[in-house]
Amino acid sequence: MEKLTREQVIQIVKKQFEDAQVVIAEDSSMDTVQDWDSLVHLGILVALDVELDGRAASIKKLAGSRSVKEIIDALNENQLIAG
Amino acid sequence: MKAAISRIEYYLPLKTETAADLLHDNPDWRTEDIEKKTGIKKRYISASTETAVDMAVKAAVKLFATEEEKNAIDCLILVTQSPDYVLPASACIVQEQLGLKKNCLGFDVNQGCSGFIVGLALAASLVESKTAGTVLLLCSETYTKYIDKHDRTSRPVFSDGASAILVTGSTEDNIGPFDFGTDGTGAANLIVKNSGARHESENNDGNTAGHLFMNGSEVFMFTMDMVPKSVSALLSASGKSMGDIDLFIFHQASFLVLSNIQRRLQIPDNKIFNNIENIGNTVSATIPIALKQAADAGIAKKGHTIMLVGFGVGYSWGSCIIKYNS
Repeated sequence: MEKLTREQVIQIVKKQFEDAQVVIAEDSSMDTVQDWDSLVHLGILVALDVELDGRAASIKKLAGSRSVKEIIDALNENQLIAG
Repeated sequence: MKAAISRIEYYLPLKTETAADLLHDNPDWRTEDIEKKTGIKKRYISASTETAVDMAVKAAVKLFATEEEKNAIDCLILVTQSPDYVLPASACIVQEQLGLKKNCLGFDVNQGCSGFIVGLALAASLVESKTAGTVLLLCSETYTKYIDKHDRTSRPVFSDGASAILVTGSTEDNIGPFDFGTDGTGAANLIVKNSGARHESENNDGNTAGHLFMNGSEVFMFTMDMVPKSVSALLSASGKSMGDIDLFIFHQASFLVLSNIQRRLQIPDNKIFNNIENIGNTVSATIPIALKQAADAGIAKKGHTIMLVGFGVGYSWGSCIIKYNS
């Protein structure tokens, strides 16, 4: 995919949780979502890289991101957010 | 003079750990999830009295076919980040314990997951320059001694082990070229603080003095970014393409790392060898152990062109192409 929408980022994050009922929004973070641990975070990083055809791996800020907003900001800084 | 790997052996400690051991100490861990990400079902743990020197000696003893072969060694390189002492160099202790001759160059290399590639480059250079005739290259690590039993990032991954290889003269160019890199901006992401001369006050980030600390996300992103670049650089430098490589052996970091490197480089399953499931991450020893197991399984064959890639702590990385003739 060339770029992701904010909603697509939210859905990518949401898919990493086993609990399908988990609520993820732009203000969701590792501090507010109980199961968002380091393992889930690695899954998010992989999923972003897959969706963006390998262009997420070089974005250093993504590793340190702790919330959906920080992920979107990091992608946006690299022109990978649509709209 | 050219250089070649003439033989490989390895040693793994007797004690092993599985998910059950992790769960025993950490009842709140979701070990199934951990195992899915790491791909590791069994890890080897050195005994409390067993050090990297002890394991290196055991691996080397397995390697020597004859006394003459041992007596021919005029250089000993020990790659370790878990030495017996800050000083002397552990290589000196190994020289004495193995009974190697005294006119033998011996030194330690303080590198981790890229350490085998670094050691191989040094060994090949010493042989090719005729500084040494036969180099014993040992990789031995006891990282598990650095790990807190409740550390969910490091404990499920790291394992102890040692490898031994002989690098000797050859009429054919079997080792190289190499690609190396260093990026110290990642030093704090995989570190044992207060293990050397610099002492720092404790903070609350889980980075406890004296214990291994790994920032999993940062290290993972480094590998995803840098490893494919190193592979491309090496292929370019060697004038080869992906199709010219018969087999890839990467540092056995974790399933997540290995599967994503494979995905990014589009390496078919039949051209990559992994053994992480039943050994774990033995740091500098992963590549030689995997190479030996691939050869024993008939996957690495005589004449094969094999790419070996190490990466991690430092950050540091190295890759090389060998013609397998062991």
